[in-house]
Amino acid sequence: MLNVQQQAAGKGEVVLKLAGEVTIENAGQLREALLKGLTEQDQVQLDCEKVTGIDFFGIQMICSAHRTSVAWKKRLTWHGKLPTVVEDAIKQTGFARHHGCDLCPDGVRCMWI
Amino acid sequence: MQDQQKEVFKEEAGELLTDLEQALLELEETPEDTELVAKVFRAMHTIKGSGAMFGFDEIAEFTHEVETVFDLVRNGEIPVSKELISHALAARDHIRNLLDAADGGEIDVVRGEELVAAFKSLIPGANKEADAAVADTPEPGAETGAEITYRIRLCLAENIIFTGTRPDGLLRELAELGPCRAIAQTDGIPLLDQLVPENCHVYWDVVLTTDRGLNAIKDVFIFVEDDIELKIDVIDEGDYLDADPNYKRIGEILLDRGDITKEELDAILAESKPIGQKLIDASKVSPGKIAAALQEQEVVRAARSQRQAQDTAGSVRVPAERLDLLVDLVGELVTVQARLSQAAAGREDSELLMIAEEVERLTAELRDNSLNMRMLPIGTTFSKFKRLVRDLSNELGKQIELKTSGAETEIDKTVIEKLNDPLVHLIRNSLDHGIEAPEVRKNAGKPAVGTVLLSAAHSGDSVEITIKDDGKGLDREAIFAKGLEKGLVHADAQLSDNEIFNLIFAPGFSTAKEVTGISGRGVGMDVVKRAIEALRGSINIKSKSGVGSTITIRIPLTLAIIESLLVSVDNDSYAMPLSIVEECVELSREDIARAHGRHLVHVRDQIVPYIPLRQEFLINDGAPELQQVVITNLNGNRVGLVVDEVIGQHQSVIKTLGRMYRDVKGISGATILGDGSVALILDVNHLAFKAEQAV
Repeated sequence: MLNVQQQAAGKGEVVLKLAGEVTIENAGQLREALLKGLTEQDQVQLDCEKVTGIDFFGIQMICSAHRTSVAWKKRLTWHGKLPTVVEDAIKQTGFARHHGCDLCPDGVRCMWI
Repeated sequence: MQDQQKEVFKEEAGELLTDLEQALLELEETPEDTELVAKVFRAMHTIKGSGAMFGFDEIAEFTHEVETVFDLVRNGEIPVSKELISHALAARDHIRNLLDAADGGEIDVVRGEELVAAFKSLIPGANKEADAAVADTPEPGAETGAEITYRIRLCLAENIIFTGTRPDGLLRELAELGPCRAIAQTDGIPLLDQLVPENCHVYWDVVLTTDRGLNAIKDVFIFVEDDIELKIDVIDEGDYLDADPNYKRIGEILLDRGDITKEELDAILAESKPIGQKLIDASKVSPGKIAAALQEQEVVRAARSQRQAQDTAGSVRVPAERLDLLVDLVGELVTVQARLSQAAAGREDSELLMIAEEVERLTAELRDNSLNMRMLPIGTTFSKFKRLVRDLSNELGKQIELKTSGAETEIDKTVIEKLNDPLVHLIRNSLDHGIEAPEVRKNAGKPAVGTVLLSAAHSGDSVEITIKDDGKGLDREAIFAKGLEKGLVHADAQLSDNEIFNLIFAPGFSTAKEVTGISGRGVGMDVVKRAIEALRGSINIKSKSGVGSTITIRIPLTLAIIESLLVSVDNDSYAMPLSIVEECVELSREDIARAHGRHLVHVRDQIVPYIPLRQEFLINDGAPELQQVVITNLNGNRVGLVVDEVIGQHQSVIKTLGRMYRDVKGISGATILGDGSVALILDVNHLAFKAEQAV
């Protein structure tokens, strides 16, 4: 079960509050929410504090969203602290890194750093 | 097997904790030393890793928190502060307690939580720095082959999920084989509007170190063989000890991996930036690929350096009991060899004599070698004292620096163990009574920071340990007054400084006006003296008011075998350490008569007191016409022992007398002679002390 709540955070800004499992089973739902956020707003913040599990496809989705935000000259950032379960999954799936990917221009911080 | 491994871990962790303590104390003095920070980090990391491997989960979890902070220190994100060092030292003690608690003690959970909280408070803001290490602890019971490092490039079919395989699962299985670092190459991930959420758009570069072999890696992918592209290369063979720790350069690794062509690389190399940056700038290679190559370089270099370090150390860990047993057996052999030599000398058989001499030579070499094996540098004890001085000086509000020299001086393991308590006591005394408070020192024109010098050096067949402080020195008058009060001296006695200072070794003697938690209970110095004498050593004090005190301890190198002088009294043999013997002179009945009942002998115009052993051992008659006085030197005082005959030099393997005779004074042990008879070893210190008391 994944629950996505949108919360306005200021002009052109929205916080997507995720709660539950961010896995392949719910990937479609997350994709829609992210697409909507990035299309309608300038800045999207992802709040994962209530996330209880995340798999490779969930992480790949967030990575894609970040690449999209860079390409569309929008911003996608974390909101609040990442729970350990998410941090561990980022490490295990090999997304944790010290340099952003080639899409990241100077001054934009990679989601995985 | 598991228990044995746990024991090994505990032993190693103990050593690491000792190193850690030393490194932390050094780091406190030189906070900029990045090598030391790295050393602390490595020690923590090893304790964590092997702790988890052998089921010491509390230790692994706790150490992880400390390691995290030191990782940040290593990266320059947190400075080395006094607070950090204090927390780290406390953490080191907590880990020690956790180790001890593994034998069934209680774990102080609250202390652990307090320390973790203290460490977390040092981290500036939330730490999201993700470490690329996925798992660095191999599964327990892993095969014990050589550890080989592999480079794995793993490309999954886009629709891998339809085979029922999740990429996370594959990576987790790989990580279970051994220390594993994965870097996901994300360049192929499409933008959201083109992304098919169920497809896999990523491939991975993994560096895995494992002792399970290539097949174990392939087995992970056994059900998806047709849906993946797998390339596995060995990048470091575990047994290749000569390998250069400077592993390939980044350009070479990328070339190896096929991420760049030779021509592209050469063109880029012409510029003068770091190769990784140049490649990224030139858009030849993505940052993810550089990250993977850097990771490979780091893992292989670390593995090779570690192996080389182990190789150069080239040591074998042997339980102390086995060494003790070896020394015991060598002792037996020395005794039998003495019998052989004696028997051979009694026969006119040149061949037997030659064999006996050969055996004698080999036995002597074997003896020296096996005794040497038990020798440890005294520095292991010194590092403990640094901690002691640090903690005590904080407690006392004094500024004290402990300097050490001669830490490499080797001494028998058993002696080192028994020296610990006396030294702790002497250093505590120096800190508490010797070194003054900073204001007092300044007023006396001394530097505010007091110094205690702890040094060790070989001196003949002994080790001389000196504790020297630049404090206020011993108070001659106060000691004399206390001695008077305790009835140890007469009011009109004319005593030398040395004699007065020696009073502090009397039982129950303390001049401290206040009893502190550190010293001044008056139960110390006599115990110290007895402990040193039990080691066949001696202790001596020199002091100058306002300048400081020096305490010198002399201890024999080993407690197992000594060179002794063999003497006889009433047909029984006795041995005494040769190191204290100065000379032997004759004692005629006329000499005895001339002294008018006093036990004094003239030796080259000097009067030397003596102890007649016949009288001491209650043997009343049968003394020979001409007796021998063996003159010994005890802490600078000459004392003679009167014996019937001096037999000669003997190598004595010291045997304890057993429980029944433990309380016999004047005899410190026994040894077996070449003819199989027993000779008692004289405790000359005690005999002299007893004679002194009798006067």
